Amino acid sequence: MSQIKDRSYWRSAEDDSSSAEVQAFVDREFPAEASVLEDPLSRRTFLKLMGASIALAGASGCTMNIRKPVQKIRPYASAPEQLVPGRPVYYATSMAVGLDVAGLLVESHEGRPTKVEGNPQHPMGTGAANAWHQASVLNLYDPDRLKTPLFQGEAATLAQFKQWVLGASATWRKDKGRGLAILTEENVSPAYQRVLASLKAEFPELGVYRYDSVNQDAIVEGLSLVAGRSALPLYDFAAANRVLSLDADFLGMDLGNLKYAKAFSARRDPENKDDMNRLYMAESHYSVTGGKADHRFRLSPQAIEGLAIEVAVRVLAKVGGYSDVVSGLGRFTGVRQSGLAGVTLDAIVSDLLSEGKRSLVVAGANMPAWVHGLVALVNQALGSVGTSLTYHAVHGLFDTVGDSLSSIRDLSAAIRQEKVSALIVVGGNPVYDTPVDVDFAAAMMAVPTSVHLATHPNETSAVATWQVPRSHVLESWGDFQAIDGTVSVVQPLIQPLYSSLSDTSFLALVGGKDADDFALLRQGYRSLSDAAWRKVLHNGIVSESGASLSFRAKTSTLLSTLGGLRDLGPVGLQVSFRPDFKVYDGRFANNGWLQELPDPVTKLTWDNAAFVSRTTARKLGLDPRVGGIDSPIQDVNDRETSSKVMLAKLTVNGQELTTAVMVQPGHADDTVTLLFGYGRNSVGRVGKNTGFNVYPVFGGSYTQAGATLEKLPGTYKVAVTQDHWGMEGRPLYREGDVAEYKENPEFAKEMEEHPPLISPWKEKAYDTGYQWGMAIDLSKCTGCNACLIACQSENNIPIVGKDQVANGREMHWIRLDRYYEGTEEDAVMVQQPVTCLQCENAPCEQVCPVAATTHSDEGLNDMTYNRCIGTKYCSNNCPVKVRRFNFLDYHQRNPQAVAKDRVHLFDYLKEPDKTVQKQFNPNVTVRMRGVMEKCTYCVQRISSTRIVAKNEGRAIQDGEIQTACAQTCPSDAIAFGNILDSESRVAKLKAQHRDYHMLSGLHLKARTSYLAAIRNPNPRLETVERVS
Amino acid sequence: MDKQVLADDPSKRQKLVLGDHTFASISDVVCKPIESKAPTWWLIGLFASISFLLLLLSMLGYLVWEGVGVWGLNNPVMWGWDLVTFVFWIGIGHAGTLISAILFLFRQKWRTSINRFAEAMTIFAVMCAGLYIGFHVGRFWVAYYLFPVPNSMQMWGNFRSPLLWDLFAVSTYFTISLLFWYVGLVPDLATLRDRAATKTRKIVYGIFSMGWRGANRHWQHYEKAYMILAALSTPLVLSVHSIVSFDFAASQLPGWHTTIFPPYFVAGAIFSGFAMVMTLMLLAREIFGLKDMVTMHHLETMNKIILATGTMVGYAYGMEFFVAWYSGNEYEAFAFVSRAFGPYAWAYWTMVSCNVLFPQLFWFKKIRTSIPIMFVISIIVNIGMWFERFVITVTSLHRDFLPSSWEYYSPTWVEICQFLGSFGLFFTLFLLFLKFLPMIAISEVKGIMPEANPHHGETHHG
Repeated sequence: MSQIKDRSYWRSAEDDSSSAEVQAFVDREFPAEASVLEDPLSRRTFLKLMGASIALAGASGCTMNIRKPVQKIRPYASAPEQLVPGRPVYYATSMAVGLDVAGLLVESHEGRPTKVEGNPQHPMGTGAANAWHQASVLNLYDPDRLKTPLFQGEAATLAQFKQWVLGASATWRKDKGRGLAILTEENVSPAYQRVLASLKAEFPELGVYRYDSVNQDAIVEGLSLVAGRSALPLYDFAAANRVLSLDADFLGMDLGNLKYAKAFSARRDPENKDDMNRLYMAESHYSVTGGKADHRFRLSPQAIEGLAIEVAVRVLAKVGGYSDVVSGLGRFTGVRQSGLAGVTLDAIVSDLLSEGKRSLVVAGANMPAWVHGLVALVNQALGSVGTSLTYHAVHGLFDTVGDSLSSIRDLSAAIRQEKVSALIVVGGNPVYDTPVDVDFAAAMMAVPTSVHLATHPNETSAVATWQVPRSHVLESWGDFQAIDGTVSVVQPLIQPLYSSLSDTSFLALVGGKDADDFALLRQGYRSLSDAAWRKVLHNGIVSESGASLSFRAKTSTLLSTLGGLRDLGPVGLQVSFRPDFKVYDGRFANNGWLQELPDPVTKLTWDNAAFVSRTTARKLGLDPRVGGIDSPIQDVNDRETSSKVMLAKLTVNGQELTTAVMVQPGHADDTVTLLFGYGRNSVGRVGKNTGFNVYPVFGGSYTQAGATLEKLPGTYKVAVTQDHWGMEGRPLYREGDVAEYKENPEFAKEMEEHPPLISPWKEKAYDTGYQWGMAIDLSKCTGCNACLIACQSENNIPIVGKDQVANGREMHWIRLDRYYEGTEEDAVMVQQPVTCLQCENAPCEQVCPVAATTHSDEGLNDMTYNRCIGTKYCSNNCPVKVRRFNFLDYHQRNPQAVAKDRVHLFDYLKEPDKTVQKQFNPNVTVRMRGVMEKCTYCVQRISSTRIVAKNEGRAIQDGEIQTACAQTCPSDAIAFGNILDSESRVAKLKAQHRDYHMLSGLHLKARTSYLAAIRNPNPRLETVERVS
Repeated sequence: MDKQVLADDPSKRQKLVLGDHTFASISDVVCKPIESKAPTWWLIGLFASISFLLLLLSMLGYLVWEGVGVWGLNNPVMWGWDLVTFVFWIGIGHAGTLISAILFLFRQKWRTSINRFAEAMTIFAVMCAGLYIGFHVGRFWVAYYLFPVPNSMQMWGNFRSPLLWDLFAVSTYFTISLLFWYVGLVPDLATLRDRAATKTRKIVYGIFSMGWRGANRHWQHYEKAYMILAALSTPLVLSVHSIVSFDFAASQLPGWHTTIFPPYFVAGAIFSGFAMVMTLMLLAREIFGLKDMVTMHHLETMNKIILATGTMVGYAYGMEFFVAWYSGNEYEAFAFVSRAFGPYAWAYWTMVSCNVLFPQLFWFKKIRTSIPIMFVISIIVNIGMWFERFVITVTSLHRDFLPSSWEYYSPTWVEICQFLGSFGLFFTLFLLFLKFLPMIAISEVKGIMPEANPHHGETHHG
């Protein structure tokens, strides 16, 4: 372990961060002169550059040295053990987003972490990682990070901060912590909580508060209502045959999504021995989970509450023993209503009851507490506790600090009463994301001394007296405890890049102790021998999952809460607040990969918007379209679905918000969905000018009623990667239901008709050696986008900026094609990952005039960047349009790019920031402008494994090579391997009945094939739907 | 049958040169613009053309500096105005060789007064086209990879690629056209040399006329060379645009992958080439007083060709739809329905009206022989033919197999300026041609005058 800490590798002397040049460089490029992504067509820039080029061309002739500067490569004087230059090393660590912990395995090239993978040993992810985890490595290298402590906005050294805080700590100690308040974001680290507890013990009058705008407090509170103690549910979707989700996006963003996606998708296979599961989904805004549902109901948040009551009444009445609740709920059946027909409800409930303990009802964190209490009762009545559901202790700060919303209100009140003289904010961004009535900015400014520990300068640090850089998770020692109780270790992959502190060291300093985070962590595991500790570091797991709680739901408290519920009456327009799929609560706002990630449903990049249904938009005068409201998706012209959208003024609780409005198929009527995390005004260069800040209308509750939405003049330009909604009746994504599949397993293959495929010449057989292929199971794919970011970080794919995305120039090698089927209002969403299909008869290869794209003996459609001159003909001839062209030099156009660090004629040209360069995968070429690029099946991974296997004189085993997308896929939808090996996973999948080739009529002989999706609808509901 | 009708008696034919011209007066008329001071309109025209040429050069500079992203291209539509304008110029460059070579071989003597003009237009148009094909690539500085340059890596071009065939087809066409044009110019350059009043002229024309003295042997060699070159370029007329059409037809994109393309493209090219010759000819005829040599008979004949080729193009449009339906290929059918009724319907109907409807007016002799109307129609045809390439290139690309990638394409100011700039290049070269070279083949026109007939002046012996 200490061996890891002691490493400090450098590529050149300039990399050594202590040198004067680097300090100067840091100063020079700090975001004072931040530039947004430039308009590529700026004449002004062009003229400027032309002028500069002429001037420099002249100058270089006489005065400047046009040779490249000398860069020395120095060997290790004593090489670290196990480090072979050119061979990556992997370390286990973990990361948390709120309460959600994922075990990670991070790839390190000569001391630089480059790529994040899931840790297969961690029970919450078992090898998968989602888009946030994948993209976190970019946050580490973000040049807009806070680099040195700032005192009243002036740069200070870490030593100066330590001196100050140790001095202040002595005073706090004297006062027993009176006047000192700590505001922390959710932290599931046992080490952190230990330091916090000892601080509280030493400073008894210390006030500890917490705040997260996105939290699970409602679930915890709801379970406290029925069980009398805090708890969180942990679902086992592998054991659940029937699932009813009340706005729970458990496959997308909810707590535990990695584990749930894996377990759920295992049951989406019609060949699964336990048969397929069935998902009923009620939600207002389309989610990836909604896309997988067998029956989806678009309901407003209040109607979902109504559905919870209606289902509870039916289930509890049927099971018996809950007559008090049933009669207590009777009062609401007239007010909170789902609007679903009685037959539909009966069908759902009897389906749930028929599976008994193998049924599960889950509710989303945005549902009020009483719904969670009710759901716990229903699950108990169904008998699912212990089968498909267990309850676990809350490992976050809820038990010690209480719920987030009251806590921040308490703090705000304490500050107003001038009880706080020093405020320590650990992480988070409360000035930006607290409810508007808290007015935290004013409160914070009223505190004489405030300290904010933050990775990036943000709205909160802007008003703090001291801004202290926070170490990224890949730079610090620590631990995290997942909901199932598993404790995983956090170990640094790199020395802190800047003068930063980890959370534990920082808190220890507040307590007057200058301790490093490793010592603070190791203290907690003193019982572990060095050998055992080394094993912990190797596996990344400190202790296996903890025992579940014994949980008995009682009805008394819930009844009194339900009794206190007011009849809402007509509620007008409801607003539903949700975390954003890309930037979450705003913490990832400066992450270019995530900003440019198309939202899985709306395909919106670089922005958020208010989402409404067509009916609601029409009612409010926000629908530019003429024609029928509920028209088939086919008839919706893509020109109307994208680019310019309307602006509107949303008023709720007396607060106003200007936002773009977009029509979303399948959205609930009379509901507006707002997404957190955008419109940050104190943010780095990437996150600037993105979206609309919805926190000014956020009152603390995820659902608010009585809103109005008025059209404003003008339009807003959005960048959407997929304008077209329908599939035009083409057999691209193929789907059937269980009955169809049982009747004709080959249905998918028969969905496309074409003439016999006869080749005029003898085709190459590709029947020896390794022949790589891929199978994508559409039944399992949720569209969560993890593969997309995994691919981006593996393959050095640049971001292009909003304007370029709006013009269809995004560079993602793998994309998720999202189509809607049916009518616009009751649209069914499907997701199809599309990447280069690696056709054996590749149309692109045929037409390249310079043979820059050719076929390898292993069946790969290779791309030779050096040879490519950029005629773009290959892309025109690609039937699936997966080729990506570097229209401009996107790495240079990144807003964080810096002037090239060399003395040369073209010195004024830019390159990615030095720190960002460290993220690049050294095994993948960084492409320049003017060349075509595309998915290579991660050929660099194939090659490096082939070399290892060859050296060891053996064949490559199945599963030894994983493409980046297949490796991270949380739902195991992608399989990659040698198709000639009949025992390989990919070959077995391809042998299934559901296997089909997209556009097979073109005789592409593609190596990527798809497995048709199968849904498992309730036959009773099917009949109901058909009749209605 | 009546023997009289079959006999091709030149004296019974319509006269190709009107007015009371002698050999000397022909030389005088044609050489006059070259030998007199540049008129003001020419200077203004040249200034304007050079301004546009500079616009072109700055756009190309910007393009190479920044990358092709300065154009409006996007993921499905990787070819836009660049390829559209390339095919447009190549098409225009078609008339020259057709008039020079094919009509020469068919002994269509009326061609002599327009062939020089048309050939010059061809060469300049192909230069514009070549410029587009060279600069449309992402990395201009390595565009030489297209050529089979011997190298130690044994890296050759991909001879299966229609784009490579295209490169060879266009460069061959350009070379042959240039040679053909130059060979035809030699006797006239000698005429200019002999008439030269200044020493510079004498030297320059002297060098380029390659010692032509009008000797019998010279004429013998000249005639043979001219004949051989005509025979060489005749297949090129058909091949070059067929191969350009392979860029589209040999791909698998619905809307491009069509067997009708080669003849359809050739017909379209002749159509647009004749229209462009018409536009330029009418102006020159007016300005330089060449009405005796470019007679209404010439114009009417050309209008008939425009009518014929325009009808062929219209037939092709119809056939495309028929085949799209008849093939039963849903993607193909969609591509054509989308052309006519999709987001680019405006372009499709512009094309149809310009190329199919307007030329049909030439069925009427009155219209066919009205100079203002034929001038307007010739311009309409040029616009229509540009739109035809736009419709083929862009509408097929913007909505292909996977609706997920569909995207609308619009040009940026760079593409528009570059397009205007290419006219700058064309007209700069053309104006220089008008000023410094004989715009009508003096020797050939003389050859078709009655005086050139060895029996001229003899009385018929019944």
